[in-house]
Amino acid sequence: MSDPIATRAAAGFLVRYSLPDLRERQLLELFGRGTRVGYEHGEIICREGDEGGDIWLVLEGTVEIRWLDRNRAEHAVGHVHAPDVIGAWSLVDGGPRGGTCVAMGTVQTVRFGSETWHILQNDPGIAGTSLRRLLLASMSEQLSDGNERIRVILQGQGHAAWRHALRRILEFVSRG
Amino acid sequence: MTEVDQLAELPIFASVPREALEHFCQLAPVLHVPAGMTIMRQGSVADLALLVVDGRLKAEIDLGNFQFPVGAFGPGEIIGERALFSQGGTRSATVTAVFASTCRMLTWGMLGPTAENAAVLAMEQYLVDVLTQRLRRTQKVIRALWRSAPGDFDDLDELLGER
Repeated sequence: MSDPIATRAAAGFLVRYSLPDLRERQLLELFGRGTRVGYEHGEIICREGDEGGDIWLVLEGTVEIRWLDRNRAEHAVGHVHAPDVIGAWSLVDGGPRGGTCVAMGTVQTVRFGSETWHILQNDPGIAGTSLRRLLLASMSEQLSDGNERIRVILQGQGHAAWRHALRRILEFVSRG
Repeated sequence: MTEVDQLAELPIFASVPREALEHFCQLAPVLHVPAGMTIMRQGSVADLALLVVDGRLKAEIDLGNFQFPVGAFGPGEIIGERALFSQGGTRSATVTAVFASTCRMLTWGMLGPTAENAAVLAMEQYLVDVLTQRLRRTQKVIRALWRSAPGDFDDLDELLGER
């Protein structure tokens, strides 16, 4: 049976990330290995600090990322728009969730649990390769965007205090 | 030592059969770089990633009046990986050889539709782990600074932006 949301998301992933030789039907095959999960507006997909057991491909909608401040108050710090990937870090390294993900409007996802992830992470076939490469494309874009924003702020287009703080970030990161 | 032996000594290829490494050598041509040579320039098209086999590379962000160091890469490490998973992007840093170095050139076209070559699979698994570590480290420092910042969260939005 055709699934217009999945089909649109597959096409969107291919436009966003020009992955080698990847085709729409291969992505649909990958989606079929996970579980389709929908979220209503305001519903929490994952919570900061929790153990990570799942990764989500966001097929449709927008997810808000929130961080807790020192007083445990939540602040929205960014938005992820479909198609994209969320929840990967904790699944990969077993660490706590880095932020709370909240559905803004209706959000459609494909969720992969840790067992499926570990199978796909070692799978040289279409599904495993597609998932690894989608994840790598998303992660490398995040790092590259971060470098660019830091460069812009350091070159004087940001607030002076943040420029100072970001110099410290760069100094720290460059030691890593 | 043969070029396959060199690759077999890298931790990321520890469990990869020699036949796969032999094929990987054909997929990823060797590049010898003299000390001081700039290999990737900030702002140029990102069409290549490098696997360092021997030597050392450094990455710097050009801030106009000075070069800010953002990383150093030794044997077994990969730099410029974004070129493998998207096309048309540009370099966010300049990469130079600290010492005379030997690298393998990795391109978008070498990957093929699936990771049937065990060395390609190992490389992808390695990158998933490494990029997760890099993103974690960056986020940890940003959060520490954010939590100590004087309450102006609009600046944080400017920093993190939309994805």
